[in-house]
Amino acid sequence: MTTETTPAAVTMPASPRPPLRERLGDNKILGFLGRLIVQRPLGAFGAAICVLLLLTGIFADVIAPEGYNHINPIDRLKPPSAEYWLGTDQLGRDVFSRIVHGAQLSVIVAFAATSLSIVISAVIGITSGYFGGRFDMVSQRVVDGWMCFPDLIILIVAVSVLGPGTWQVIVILGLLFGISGSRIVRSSVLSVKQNVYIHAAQSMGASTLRILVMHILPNVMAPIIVLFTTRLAAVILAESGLSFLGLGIPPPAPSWGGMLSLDGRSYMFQAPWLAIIPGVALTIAVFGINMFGDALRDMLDPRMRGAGAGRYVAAVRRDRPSSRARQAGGASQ
Amino acid sequence: MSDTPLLEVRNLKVHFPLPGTLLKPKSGGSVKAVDGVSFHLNRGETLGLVGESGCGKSTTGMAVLRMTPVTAGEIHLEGNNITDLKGRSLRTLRRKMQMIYQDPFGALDPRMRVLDIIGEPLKVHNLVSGRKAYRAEVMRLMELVGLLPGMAERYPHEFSGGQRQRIGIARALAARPEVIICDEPVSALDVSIQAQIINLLKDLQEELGLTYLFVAHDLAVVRHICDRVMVMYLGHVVEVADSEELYTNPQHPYTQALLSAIPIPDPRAESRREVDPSIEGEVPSPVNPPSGCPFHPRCKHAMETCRTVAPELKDTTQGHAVSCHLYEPTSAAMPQIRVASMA
Amino acid sequence: MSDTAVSQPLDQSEEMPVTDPADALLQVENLHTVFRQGRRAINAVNGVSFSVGRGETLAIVGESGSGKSVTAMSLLRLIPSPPGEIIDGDVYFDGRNLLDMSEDELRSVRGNEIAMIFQEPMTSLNPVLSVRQQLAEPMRVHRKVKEENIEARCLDLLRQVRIPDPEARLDAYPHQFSGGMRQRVMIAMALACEPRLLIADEPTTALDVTVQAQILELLKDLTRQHGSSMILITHDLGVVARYADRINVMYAGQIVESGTALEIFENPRHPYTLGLIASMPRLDAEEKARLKPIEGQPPDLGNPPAGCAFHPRCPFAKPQCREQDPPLEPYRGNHLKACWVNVDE
Repeated sequence: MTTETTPAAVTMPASPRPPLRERLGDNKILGFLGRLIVQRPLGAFGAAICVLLLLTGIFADVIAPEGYNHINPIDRLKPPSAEYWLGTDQLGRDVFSRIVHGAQLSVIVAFAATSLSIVISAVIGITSGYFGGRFDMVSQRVVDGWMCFPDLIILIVAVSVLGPGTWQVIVILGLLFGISGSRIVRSSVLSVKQNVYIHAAQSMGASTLRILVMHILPNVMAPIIVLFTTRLAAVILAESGLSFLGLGIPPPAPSWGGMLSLDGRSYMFQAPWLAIIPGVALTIAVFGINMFGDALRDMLDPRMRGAGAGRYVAAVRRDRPSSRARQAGGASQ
Repeated sequence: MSDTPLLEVRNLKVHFPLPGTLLKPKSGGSVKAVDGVSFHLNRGETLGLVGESGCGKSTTGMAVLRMTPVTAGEIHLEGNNITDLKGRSLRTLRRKMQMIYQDPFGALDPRMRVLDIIGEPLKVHNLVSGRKAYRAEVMRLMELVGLLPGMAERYPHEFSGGQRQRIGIARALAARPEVIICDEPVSALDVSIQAQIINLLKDLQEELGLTYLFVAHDLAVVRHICDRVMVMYLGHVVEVADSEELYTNPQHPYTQALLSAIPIPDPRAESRREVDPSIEGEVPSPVNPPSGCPFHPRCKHAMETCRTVAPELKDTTQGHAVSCHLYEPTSAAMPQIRVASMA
Repeated sequence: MSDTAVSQPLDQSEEMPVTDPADALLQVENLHTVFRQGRRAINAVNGVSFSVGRGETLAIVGESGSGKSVTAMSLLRLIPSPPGEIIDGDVYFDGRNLLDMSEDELRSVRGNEIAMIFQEPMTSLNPVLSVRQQLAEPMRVHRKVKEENIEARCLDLLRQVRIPDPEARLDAYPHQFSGGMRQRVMIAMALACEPRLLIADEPTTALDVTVQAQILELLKDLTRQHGSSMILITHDLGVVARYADRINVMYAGQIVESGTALEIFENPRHPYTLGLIASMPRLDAEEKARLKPIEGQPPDLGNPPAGCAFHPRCPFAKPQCREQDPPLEPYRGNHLKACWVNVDE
């Protein structure tokens, strides 16, 4: 299987493609999934977690046995049981239901805020990196200035101005991560810009917009995807952190961070599941997203689709000549 | 109109300013990459631009393409001055001049399929309408350069260096350009593949009546493809001649040295050849070029005049021009020139 | 697929006639180096045997991917591992097998008895050390030269490689040198311990032709002066014609032809050598003469063709070539070829 999916044919275009790729090649999604499972099992596991998270978020109302704020005054601080799978909190609310609804909230906040941040990063990073010169100089100094303030201070100020609430959290986190992320996009634009094919597109007479969209953007997609997935995880954590500090989404909304802080911390010793369960949920979600993101980045690069081992020989030749020269000189390592 | 050259370059200068200090931002001086170059290119011919690294041959190519700012001089294409074109009219001009690059690995966008790489000029300049016509045109181009149509959906990394260079050539042809600037198109390729690409370029020229400006450092490669050759040194043209004339009767001491430095794959011939002593030393920095003739510090024939007076490019015979004091009409003229320059 | 090729090494070493075995400084026998990627194995060097006589300059010529550089790196076990691995063969240097040595023993050979010069003059020197420090390193490591003598020795080396004004340049840093001058410094470093064998891996590929001629002349003079042997690895047949005593032509990890420069150029016996010479652009050619390329592309070493690796591109190929890999056998005296065909027919 493995040899078939890392096609040997790639380096020798004249020979036919391997069978597996042909069979799955008709359906792009199926083919992608097939390669994901075979080449990146951990990534596939991450993808499964992401899908589970998404489905839980979408169908929260169906899955959860109770509403997130349904209070059962008699069953307060009940440990996990057949009736309450993950126990109940100090108000007798079903923790399982709250986790499920919390997934919905997390998914909404995470995707909205991350998408916003990626758009901001891409726009600032690509324009600043591609145009360079004075424009780059000014925009980067603005970014510098913004990044001088600790995140937490910006968050606290922004929340105190805008007030707590779901959309406020989305805007603040999107802006915060977007501006700092523009640095990463810019630096990869700077290196992509050096490529001869960019020169080729310019000398061909392609418009700036075309170069940005057709050549620069696809070639900085890898860092953008990494940015997206790490930021997705970071936003979930940041939102939890904000809620933990009481600056996020106000109760009774079941934010995982809020659950961890308000309920978990106060009853840590009487009812440890109140802290453990949202913590585990957070960990699994962040882990899954990160694994999936890494795999996605590699799979989307056409060069990684069964890279020919011939590249290794080429890589050897480029392999840090100065250290190689030292080695050849007999220097001890 | 018929005797107007397709491309004419007059006294082209490209100087790159060096960064100065904080207090005197303009004090850094400049790199005189191209310093007064004139030449013409007729329709259907191949002009070789030859020299070592730093001689300004690539910069000249870039300036002709209008990809690098021109400090002074004029560039005329089909009789029109294109030196100062901007914006939309510059973009329209770009269709007429296409480029083939040295690096077959970097010149193709790794995220694009061959179909889209070759077809990009068609899209940029709206040369075909409809998906079908687009595809058909790309297939025609692929066939022209010797690629199989089945390769259209593949990505550049799936190809070898020679095949990538074919893709780059097909892309350059797509726009149906007037001039193709080849910047060291074969120097990154293996010998056996090099010959394939040189032959392809020659065949295409014959078939389509193409005009090439062929920038290269390898005089042996140039011999196989160029009608005329222009040798550059430190931003100046030192010699221009028809190919045959230049190789059999090189006049400038630099051209002679360059030719003697190229090894010939024949041990018997090699044992008879001597390495020209004037190749000792290295190309001086273009920031501080030597006074007078730029080649005089390395030249075995250097005279007093060479240190002070820059020679002009003058015809010695029909179509053979040299920039060297050795070939001044009368040696008596030399002191006069010197006096004139000092006055 | 590739495993079979690995497990059936070509026995080229048997009856391999050496100029004079007793006189050989370096004797390489049946060297195999592979690069692994997943389950794929690239046979970068696939059964290479040759020898280098004392004071001899041997050129290894081939195109990219022919295994010429990997061969050179394998001699000193400089193959990055993983993914590379030397899986078979012997490399006798003055009677000692370099492939059996411990890392410590080998280190006392590298840079001391065998020195290397690399292609990249820009990156092969350490940018943060002065020329003096870099020149002194091999002397301190291998020769235990006394501190007070080091300066004089460094200056002497810079003079030998004809760097003008050596006193002033001794404390300069690599970025203050031009490409040609850096390559001279590299050569000076290589010569620091007066090696008996110099391996020059494409030493002039990154340089201009006039500088290339200077550097090659310098290498020729210095090796002659010190009586050291040299392995010159290059893709440029022209360079070889001027500077090599003997030539090994490599294709797809194997030596396909071996002989003196005259034998190779005037009487090439392998179709690949023939093709290579015919496809070279030459200064002494007819004006705008048409080149004769070798059609096709070099083989994928992870999936090489059966039989002779060159047969898909070979105009002389016979049915036998598709099935059996030809051994490297004497054609006449020490002129060896690995081919089933007589190219005169």
